Amino acid sequence: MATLTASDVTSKHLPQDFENIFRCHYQLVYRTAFSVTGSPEDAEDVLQTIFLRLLRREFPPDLDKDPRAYLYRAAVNASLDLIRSRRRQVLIDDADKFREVQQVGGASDEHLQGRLLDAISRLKPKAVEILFLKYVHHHKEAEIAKMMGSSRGAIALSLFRSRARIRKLMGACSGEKS
Amino acid sequence: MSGGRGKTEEMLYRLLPKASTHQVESAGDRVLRRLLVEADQLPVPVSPRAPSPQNVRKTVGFAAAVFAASIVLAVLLVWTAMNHRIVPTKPVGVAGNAGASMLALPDGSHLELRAGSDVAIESAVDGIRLRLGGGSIIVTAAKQHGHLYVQTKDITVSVVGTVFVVNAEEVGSRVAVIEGSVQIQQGLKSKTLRRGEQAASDPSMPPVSMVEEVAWSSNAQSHLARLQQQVSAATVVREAAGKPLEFEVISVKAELPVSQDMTLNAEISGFSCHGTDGIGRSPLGQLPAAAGQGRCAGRYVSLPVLVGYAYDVYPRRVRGAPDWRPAGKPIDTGFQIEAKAEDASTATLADLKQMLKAALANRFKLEFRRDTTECSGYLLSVANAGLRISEARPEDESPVHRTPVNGREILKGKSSIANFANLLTESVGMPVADRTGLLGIYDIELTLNRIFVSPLAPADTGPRNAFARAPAANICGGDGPNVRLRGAQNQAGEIRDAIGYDPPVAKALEDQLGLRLEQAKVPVETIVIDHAERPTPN
Repeated sequence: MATLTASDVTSKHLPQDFENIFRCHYQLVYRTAFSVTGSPEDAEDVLQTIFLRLLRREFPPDLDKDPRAYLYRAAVNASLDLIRSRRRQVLIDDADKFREVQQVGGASDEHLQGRLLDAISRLKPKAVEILFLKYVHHHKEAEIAKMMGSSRGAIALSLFRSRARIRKLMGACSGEKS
Repeated sequence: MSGGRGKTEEMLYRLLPKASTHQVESAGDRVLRRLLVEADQLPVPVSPRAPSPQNVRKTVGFAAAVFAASIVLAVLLVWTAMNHRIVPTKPVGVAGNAGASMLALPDGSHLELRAGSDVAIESAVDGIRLRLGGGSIIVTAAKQHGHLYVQTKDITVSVVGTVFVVNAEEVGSRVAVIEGSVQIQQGLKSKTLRRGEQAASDPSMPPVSMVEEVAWSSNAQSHLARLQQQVSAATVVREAAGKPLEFEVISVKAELPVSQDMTLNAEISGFSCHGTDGIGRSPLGQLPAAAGQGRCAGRYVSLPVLVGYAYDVYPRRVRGAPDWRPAGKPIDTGFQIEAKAEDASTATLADLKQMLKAALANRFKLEFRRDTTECSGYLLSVANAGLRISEARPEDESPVHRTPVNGREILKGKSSIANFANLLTESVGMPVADRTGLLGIYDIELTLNRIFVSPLAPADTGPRNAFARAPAANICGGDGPNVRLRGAQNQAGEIRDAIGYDPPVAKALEDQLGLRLEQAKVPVETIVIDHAERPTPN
């Protein structure tokens, strides 16, 4: 008789439809959250928060229409919420230290990445969705347009505006001109 | 402006953080574990579509409250109609100690419950889910658009149009298939079970013959008759008698390799079995001729190839085979094998594998144990752009075969993704683990264009030969295209030339099937041979 090997997980179960959705999309959610937050811990938090909400039935019927699109949007929004709430917390609790860190940072990639993510977090969620579909998930503009139910021109314009805003925000931080 | 745009684009591509596969996998595992704990603390049953109490609380105003109350009432009514918990108390219609109750499901499926069994019926996104808390059920699943799931505390069985038995006990669960095939999911691992086969979630659960398995059913005779028709008369009769299936006649002859060139040997060697449900071939060797109906046949077959085929393990992962090389010969002795089932017209591939196992025990005195090791390999998942293959009917399942055609390799068949991942090991030369989470049977056709690459170049020197594997084969690797085809080893063990693919396998998979291949550490199952003897003469 064939014997299934011992599982890592015993005596507990998840609804099958939920588990299927998790297996199909957790990579997308984690990768997106990681790219937006730049932190593995935050990305894991976002992944857990989103699927915990789904498990607790807090998701609208949009999920059935296109789980991938829904979860991607949820990942971007949850990541932005996390960053913004943290920024508020920093400004209130530790504003001086935060300023010091900003001034000390040089032109290293790490510092530049921090500024880039900070600038991106100030964009509108939809613009961030489009930006990450292009630069993290490497979709073409036409594909993004199809996914977002928009025109290719609108996507190109959104990307143009996002890049310009990022240049401006990053330039403003360092005193450069865009 | 274009300069600014170019710089910004370059910065976005370069600086936006990208998670490694390891990070993604380990985070996924950790979160899934936490969700499992959370799921156990939630009130059951759950459905993603049911409104949450929080949502109801958010409703403002009297009219909205009335509206929400009516919605809740409607949902409760639907829920009551759709979700039952059944504990049969009055067994009917069975002689002996056991009893059974019959139940018809809305989708046309039938459920037979053993007395004292605890079953809850719920709606799932794409069908119906039965939660088996304890006891035994026999499910006759109707052919339908959606799926029928049976969930116990440790496994989930998913089916479309099949008959099977599920037992939920304290230590674990056991599944036996009477007709068709089912997919079993246990934690992160899945397995396909075909007619006549059984599986248990816990190794300590004793095997039970199919006759005993269905003895409590009021339709036991008809189930056994169905099994007899579907599998073969021999299976049931021998199971009832407690005897394993054996070949009626088997011939095993040692044969020395005709050449020391592995290329030539690969082309004239191979092993296959031909059952009523198709032809199964060992992944190593390319002998084009298949065995006749109800037979297994092979030329220049090594013991690891035979063991690997019988126990569904890639031959490279069968370790500890005795060294039977003749003195001064660098290549091992092979065997010429001809075997025939007692009733060649009804034997299935599963039957023939059982017979081969018996032959290995009797003729080779094989003793072995299973082991698991971690290897560098690949994870197969659904690509970002989505799956590009369609689901096939389970009854149409046919193994994916590799056919070389004019410098191309065509992998074609209707198979589970897990089985396809195993086959991909040959193309990429490293283990491939299925992480798609897809349980069904899919219509798969993948075309790979072969190119010659230098085997001395590092495996990942560029896109043309990315995924060309390192020449040294070990338990983690397959033979790989470079050794299996023109990349022959000379006597000094050097690879003369090798074969890669353009586009690489990963790109072809993504473009043609919508599947993504990523490097990662993967667990692989191995077999360790403790003892084997040269086969006794015919």
